[in-house]
Amino acid sequence: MTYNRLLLIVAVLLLVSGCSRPTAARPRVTKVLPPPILPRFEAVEAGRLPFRHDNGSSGRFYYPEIVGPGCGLFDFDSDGWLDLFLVQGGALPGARSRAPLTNRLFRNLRNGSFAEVTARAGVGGVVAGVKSYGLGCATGDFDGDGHADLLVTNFGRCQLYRNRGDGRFEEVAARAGLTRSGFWTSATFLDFDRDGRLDLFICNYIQYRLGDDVLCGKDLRERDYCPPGYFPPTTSALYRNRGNGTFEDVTRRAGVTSPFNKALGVVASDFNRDGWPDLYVACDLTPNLLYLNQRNGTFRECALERGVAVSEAGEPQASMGVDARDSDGDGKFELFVTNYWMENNNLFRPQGDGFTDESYAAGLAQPSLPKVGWGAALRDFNNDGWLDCFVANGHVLMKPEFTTPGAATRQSNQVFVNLGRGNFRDVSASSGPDFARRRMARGAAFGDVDNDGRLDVLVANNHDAPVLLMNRTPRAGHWLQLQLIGSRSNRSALGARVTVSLPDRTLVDEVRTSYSFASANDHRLHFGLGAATVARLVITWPSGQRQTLSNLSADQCITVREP
Amino acid sequence: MRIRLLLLCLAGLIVVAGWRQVTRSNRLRPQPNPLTAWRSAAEDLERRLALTPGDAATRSELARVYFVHEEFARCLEHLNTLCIQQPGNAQIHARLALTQRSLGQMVAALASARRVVKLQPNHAEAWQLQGELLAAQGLDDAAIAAFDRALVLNSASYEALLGKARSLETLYGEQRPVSTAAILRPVERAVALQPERTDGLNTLARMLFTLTGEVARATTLARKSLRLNPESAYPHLILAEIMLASPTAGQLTEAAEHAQAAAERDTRNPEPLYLLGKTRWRQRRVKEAIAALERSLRIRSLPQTVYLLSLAYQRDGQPDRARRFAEVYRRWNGFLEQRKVLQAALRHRPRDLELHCRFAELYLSTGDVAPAENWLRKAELLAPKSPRVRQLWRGLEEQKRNPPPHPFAVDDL
Repeated sequence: MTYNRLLLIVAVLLLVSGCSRPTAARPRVTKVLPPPILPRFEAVEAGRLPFRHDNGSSGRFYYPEIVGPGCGLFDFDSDGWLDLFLVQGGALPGARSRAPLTNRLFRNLRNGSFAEVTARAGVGGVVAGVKSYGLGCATGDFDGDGHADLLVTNFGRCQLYRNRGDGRFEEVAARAGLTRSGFWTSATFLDFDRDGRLDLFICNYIQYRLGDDVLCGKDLRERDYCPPGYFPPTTSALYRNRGNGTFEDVTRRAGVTSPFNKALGVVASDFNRDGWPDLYVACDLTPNLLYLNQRNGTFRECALERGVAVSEAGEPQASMGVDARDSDGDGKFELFVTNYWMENNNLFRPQGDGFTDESYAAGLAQPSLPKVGWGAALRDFNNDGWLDCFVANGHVLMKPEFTTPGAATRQSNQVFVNLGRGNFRDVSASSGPDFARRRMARGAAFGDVDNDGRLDVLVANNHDAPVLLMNRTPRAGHWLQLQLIGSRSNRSALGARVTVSLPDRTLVDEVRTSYSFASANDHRLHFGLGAATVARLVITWPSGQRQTLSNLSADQCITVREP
Repeated sequence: MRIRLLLLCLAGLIVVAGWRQVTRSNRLRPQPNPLTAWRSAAEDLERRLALTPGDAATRSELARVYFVHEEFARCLEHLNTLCIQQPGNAQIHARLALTQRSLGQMVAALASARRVVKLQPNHAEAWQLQGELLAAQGLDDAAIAAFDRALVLNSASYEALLGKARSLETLYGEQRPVSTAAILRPVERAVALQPERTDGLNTLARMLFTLTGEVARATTLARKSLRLNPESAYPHLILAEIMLASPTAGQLTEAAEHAQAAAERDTRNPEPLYLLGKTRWRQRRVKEAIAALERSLRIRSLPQTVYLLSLAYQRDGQPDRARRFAEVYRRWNGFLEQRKVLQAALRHRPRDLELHCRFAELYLSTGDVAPAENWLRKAELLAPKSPRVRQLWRGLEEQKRNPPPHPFAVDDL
C-alpha cells in the first residue's frame, strides 16, 4: 500500500513537471559565477581639462541647444596615447557675447595631464570668424594615410578635418563634397561597399531652421523645449568614398532614406554575419532603423520585422545612444539603445533572425526609467571578460519636474556590472563619487586614456564642463588590446571581427570607433580576459581574410597588420 | 457560537432560495416584447404628430423615444424641427448636440453645444458636452477650458472631472507640460464622490498604473471595479496590462487569464486579444500568439497588433508576411508622424487655411471621411470660397461614393 502510494506520488510529480508551462525568461546562468568585481572610477579634476560647453542659449529655446555635445578619444598624433577632443556649441541668435568659442583638442601628455593644441591643430571649428555650431564627432582614416581623420558634425555643415600627420589638420569638407546643411548629430565611418576605403554615414536629426520654434512649455513665462514630434523627419546622409579625397552622396541610391529618420545615434556592425557592415540608427520618437547591407551598394530597412524599431507595445521611443556587442557570451551582438524618461533602455538580444527586447530580464530596464539616456556602451570595465554597461544621463527639458515627475534636468550617470551571461546590476552607488553628481550629460567616449588596460570614460555635458572618468577598478582582470591596421581592408580596419579564445570561453568584438552618442571612441579593441593570461585570437578582416594569432600574453597592447 | 454561525448560514440559504424563486416566477410571467413595444409607442406618437404637427410636447417625446432606441437619424429630424419651432430652447439644442454626436457629426454637435451655452451660460452639462466634443476632435486645450467651466457650475460633475483628466492625459501624451498630479487630481475627486462607479475606478486604476507606476493601488482599484461589475471587460484589461508589466511566469499566466476573460466579455474590442497575443509572445508560444493576434486583427486593426504580428511571423518563419505587416505598420507611423507635425504647426498658426486643408488631405489619404469632413468644414469657415477647399470637397464626395481600401487594413489573414 505504502509502495503504491509512493509510486502514485512519483507519477503525479512527473506529470506535473512534464506539464508545466515554459517559463518566460530562459535560464541564463548555468553555473555559479564568482561575485563580480565592482568597477570604480575617479574623475579627473576640472583644471586639467579647461573647457566648458556653451550651448548658446538665450531664452529663445533653439532646438540645437539641447542636443549636443559629443566628444572624442583618438590618437591624433599616433604616439600610442589617446588624445581628447571636445565639441563646442556656438553662438546662436540672441546669445550674449561670450569668450570666443572653439572645439578643443587636448594632447595626452602621458602623465595624467593634457595640453591644449587646438590652435595648432586647426580643429577649433571657426570659419570666417564664426564658430560652427558643433554637435558631435567621428574618427576614421578616410584617406588611408595612417593618420586618424576627424569629422565634426554641426548644426549647419559638417567639417571634415584631414589629419596631415604633423599635428595639424586641414578642413576639407567642401572639397570632399560634404556640402549638405543639416542637423547633423552622430556619424560613423564604415566601408559599406568593402572597397577598402572608408565611407561615411552621418545622422541628420530633424528639419529645423532657427526661428521654426513653436512656443512650448507651461506658458510664455515658463517656456521650454518642444517635443521632437513638432518637427518633421529628414534624411541622413551616406557618402561613398571615391578614393581621391572626395565623397559621393549615395543616400538615395543606397536606399537609406527612411521617412522616419530623426537620427541621433548610429552604430555600424555586421548584424546578420554576412561579412558586410549594416547600420542601426537610433531615432527620436520615430521607429529606429536597421539598414541591412544588400552587398550591392544598397541597404534594406527592416528594423520593424527584426524587432528593433519600437517598444514591444509597438510605440516608437525617443532613442539616443546605441552600441552593439556580445554581453551574454553567445558570440552574437546585442543592441543596446538608450531612451527617454519612462522609456526603458533596450537590450535587444538576437533570436532567430530577429531580436527580442530582454532589457527587463537583463536588469537594465527598471533603473533606466527615471533617466534620459544618451551616450552609452557595453564595455568591460573590470576586465572579467563580461561586458558591463555605462550610460550617460541628462534631461532635455528645463523644467522636467513638471511633466516628468521625479526627473530633474541634471541627472547622474549609471554603471551596470555584468553578473555573468548578460545579467546586469546597477552599481553606480559604489562606483565612485562622480556617479552621485548630476549633470546634463550627452556624449560619452570610451577608451584606455592612461594605457593601464582599464577602459576610461570621457563624458561631455551640455552647457557644463566635461568629466573624464579614469578607471581605477581594483583587482581588475587581465586584458588584451589590439590595434589593427588594414592593408587590403580599410586602413582603420573598421569592421574587422576578432574572436578571442580563452580556456573556458570565447570573446568576440568588432573594430569600430563610432557608437554611444555623437562621440568617437578608442580605435583599439579591448578584451578583458579575467584570470586568463594567454589568449589565442582569430581576426576576420573586412577583406574576408582570416588571421590567427596564438599564445598571446595578456596585459599588453599589440599592433596587428593585415597580411 | 457555532450554532449561531450555522443559523446565520441557514438564514442566508433561505434568503437566496427565496430570491431565486421570486426571479424565476418573474421570468415565467408573460412580458411584453420590448422590441415591438417601443415601436408601437413611436408609431402612436407619429400618428398623433401627423394630426397636430405643432405639438412640441409630442415631438419632443418622440425624439426622446428614438434617441433611447438609437434611431438617431429620425431623432435628429424631429429635433431639427423643434429647434425651428423653439429656437430659444436651450434644452432642445442640448439634445440636438447629443444626437449629432451619436451620428458622428462632431462639428455640428459642437456648434449646437455652443448655442446651448449661449442661450443658457449656466448649463453645466452643455459645457461638459462641449468639452467632450472638443476632446473628440483633438482640441484638448479648449476641452479642458470647457470642462473647467462645467466644474465651476457644478464642482461635483463626475463626467466633467473624468473628461478633464482624460484631456490632460492626452496633452501629457503629446509631451505638453502637464503634471501627472494635475491629471490624477480630478479623477481622484470623481472616485471620492462616487466610489462605487466603475468608470472612475477603471480610469484611476489605468492612470495610476501608466502614469505613476503605482501598481499596488492600481491593482486594488481594478479588483474593486471587477467586484462591482464582474461582467465588465475593462478591469480585466487593466489587470492583464499590470501583470504584463514586469512579468514572471506566474504573472504571465494570470495576464493571459485576464486577457481571455476580457475577450470573452467584450467581443467587439480588439485590445483583449492583442494582450492575449502579447502574453503568448512573451511566453514564447509563437503559434498561439499569432492565433490571438490574428483574431484581434479581425475585429479591428491596431498598430501594436500589426507590429507584434510582423515580429511573430518573422519568428515563425514567414518572412514575407512579416515584411508586409511591417509595411502596414510603417504606413501607419508615417500617418501619425505627419499628423503630429501638422498639429504642432497648427498650434503655431491656428488660422492657417493650408494647414486645415493638409489635415483634410491627410485623412482623405487614409480614407477617414469623418475627420476629413470636420477639417474641411473648419477650412470653409476660414475661407468660404477657397478653390482648394472646394476641390477637397469634391475628393471627399468621391470617396464617399467609392470608398478606397483602407491603407492600414490587413485583409488576407
